[in-house]
Amino acid sequence: MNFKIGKDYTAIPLFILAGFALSFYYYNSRVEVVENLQSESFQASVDKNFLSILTQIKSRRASLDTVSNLFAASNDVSVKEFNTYVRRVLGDKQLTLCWRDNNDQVVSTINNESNVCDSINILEESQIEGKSDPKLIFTKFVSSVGGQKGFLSVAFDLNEVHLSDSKLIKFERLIFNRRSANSFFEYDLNSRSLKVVTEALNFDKSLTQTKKVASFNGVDFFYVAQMNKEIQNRALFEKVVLVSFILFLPFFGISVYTYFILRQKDRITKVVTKRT
Amino acid sequence: MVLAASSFPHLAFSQSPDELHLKIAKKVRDVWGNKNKKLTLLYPKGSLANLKPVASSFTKLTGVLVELREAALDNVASELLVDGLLKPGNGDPIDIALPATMSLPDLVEAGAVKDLTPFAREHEPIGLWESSLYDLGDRYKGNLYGYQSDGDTYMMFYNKEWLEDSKAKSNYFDLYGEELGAPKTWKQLDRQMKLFHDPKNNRFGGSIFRTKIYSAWEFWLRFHAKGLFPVDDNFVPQFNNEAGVEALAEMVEATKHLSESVFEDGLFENFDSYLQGNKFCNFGWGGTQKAMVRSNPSYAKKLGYSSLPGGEFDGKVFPMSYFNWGWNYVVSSRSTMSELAYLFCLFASTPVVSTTSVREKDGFFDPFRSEHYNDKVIQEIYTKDFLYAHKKSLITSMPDFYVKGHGRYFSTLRDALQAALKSQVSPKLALKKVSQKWERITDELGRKEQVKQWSFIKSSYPSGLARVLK
Repeated sequence: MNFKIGKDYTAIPLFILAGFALSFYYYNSRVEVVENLQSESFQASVDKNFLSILTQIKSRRASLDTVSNLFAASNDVSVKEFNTYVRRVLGDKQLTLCWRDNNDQVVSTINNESNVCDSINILEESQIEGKSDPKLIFTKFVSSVGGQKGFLSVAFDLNEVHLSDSKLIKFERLIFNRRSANSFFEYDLNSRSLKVVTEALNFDKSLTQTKKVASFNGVDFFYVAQMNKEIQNRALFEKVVLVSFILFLPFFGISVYTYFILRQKDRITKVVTKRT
Repeated sequence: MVLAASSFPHLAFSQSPDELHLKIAKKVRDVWGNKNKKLTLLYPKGSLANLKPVASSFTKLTGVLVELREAALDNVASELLVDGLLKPGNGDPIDIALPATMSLPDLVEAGAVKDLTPFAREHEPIGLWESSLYDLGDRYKGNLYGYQSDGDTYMMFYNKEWLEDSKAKSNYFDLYGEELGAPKTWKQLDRQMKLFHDPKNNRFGGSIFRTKIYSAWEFWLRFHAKGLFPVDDNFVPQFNNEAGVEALAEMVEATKHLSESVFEDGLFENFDSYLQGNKFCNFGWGGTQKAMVRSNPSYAKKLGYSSLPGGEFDGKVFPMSYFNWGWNYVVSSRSTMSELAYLFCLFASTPVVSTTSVREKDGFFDPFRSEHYNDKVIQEIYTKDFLYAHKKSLITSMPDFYVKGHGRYFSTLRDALQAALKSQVSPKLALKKVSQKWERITDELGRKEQVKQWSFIKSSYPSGLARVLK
């Protein structure tokens, strides 16, 4: 008799376990879908920011070519002409421009509040200067039809590189590789700090995207973004948890109900046995 | 150089040089032979022919596959650094690479290549170094980081027929009061290039490199020929003075007597340009000679070869040779099979395997071991005359500037030289800027360390040359 009752009770935890397994299976498969969706959204954010960086860097580099056209098309360029031309073609672009002659003397500057024009080496086609206020500088030799020679440099503040915020991105970096110098710089787009890369950057490969943005003036630009591991779509995640719970509830309910029925049955059986 | 041979205790085996590679292959086969292993090797464009027989022989003898991955000629070190520092994770990590020897200090400092010293202690066979003629670039600060694959001593090529022309001889004598002969000094070479430069008749003084990357070597030599080391004992650059300005001004002047395309011609375009047969001289390596003999053997016979021009000290000419390139087998720090990768490098460096590699006429690797010069196939590919000059130049080569930040120093130098060579700035300003930047780099990297390394490099200069340089 006791044996029979024990067997009946054994079915209850098994039933609960089945419910739990079903619920767990559902939870896992749904979370995987959520993670995949997050990964796709991360990829989309990376692509978007990558394109944005590409555009911003290209635009700065193109400014240098635009201004150098003035020299290529002129017999001689005066400071007044230079200033007028630059303000006309560059409009409200916040760029620092430096014009030095080929004796390394400053001829004219535009937006040189940070005095970066004083520290430019005209013979280096690309430079990265400053730690707290880092600037990327491109330099180009210019010559006019009349034989005027000089160097134009465009410096742009790396702090001005703007990317759209995404909760999916844990961090973003810009890496500059000056190929001929075998040197690397890392600009952290979150903390806005610059450092020289001297050892391997140990990014989590499974969560990190590294993309080569462009190559200008002997510099290779890389954009590195790491995905936020935590699920960001809380609403969807909570929904999955709720559905998993709901799936489990009937199993739990039926088990509790069965337990009480069996308890009741036991009690009756005991009473009947006593009387007989 | 036997110097290196004594650097390691030889716990390993002693073998006939002809069997070293077999012994190494057996070691590999015993441990990794049946485990489906594959090594990835990054090589510079133009050397595939040299590497194919090495890789296939290794696979045949060991069962380990070798995937050959090509990089642009001047970008191997950069790609290795990107792979090592950024770990972009595209495809298999690089196990072995062949960066230019001059890049080795930067790769070591960045932690992109493995220190091979412990492996060498365990596996390097006795006798490996005995026939090696240049291995200074394999080590950095006392440790082994790579094995040389290419005897890249910088050499001069000149047209012997033009030198023998009686009209040219008499013109030269009238102009300079000396006999026209193979140039021994920079002054003679500059005069001869000027003499033969006749663009109207499609003849040019030379096709010497003027691209940003390759022109620095010539300045380096011209500057040494003025009797000065590039830096003093405190690692202060010595360019910014009369001798430096004179060397650069002479180089700028010489540029007027070169063919028009020299500012654009890279390595392979330079070969093609000189092959046209209308330029008096060129600078190059054994790879240049290989290209000449392969593409235009009759023209190659008209050429003379020698070390590069030297300087003059107390009325005597001091010759100069310069090991300015070379490629080293290195093991990437990202490799997960570093011992296996090391053994591949060792295998490739053995006399027999390196000979098969240098023998390939379609690849630019040149002799760097005594055995290579005695090999009949190699003698046929290069010609005996050339090999004689090459060996002489290799043995007496001064070392490259193997210091921390080599890339940064040379990048600055190249930028400045290019501006001067294109007459964008004066030689004086160019060298002033170089000196300022070099000082800044040295202060950043640590002067004490640089002084120590420079002292070592200086002591490795050929004694004859070191005696006259200040």
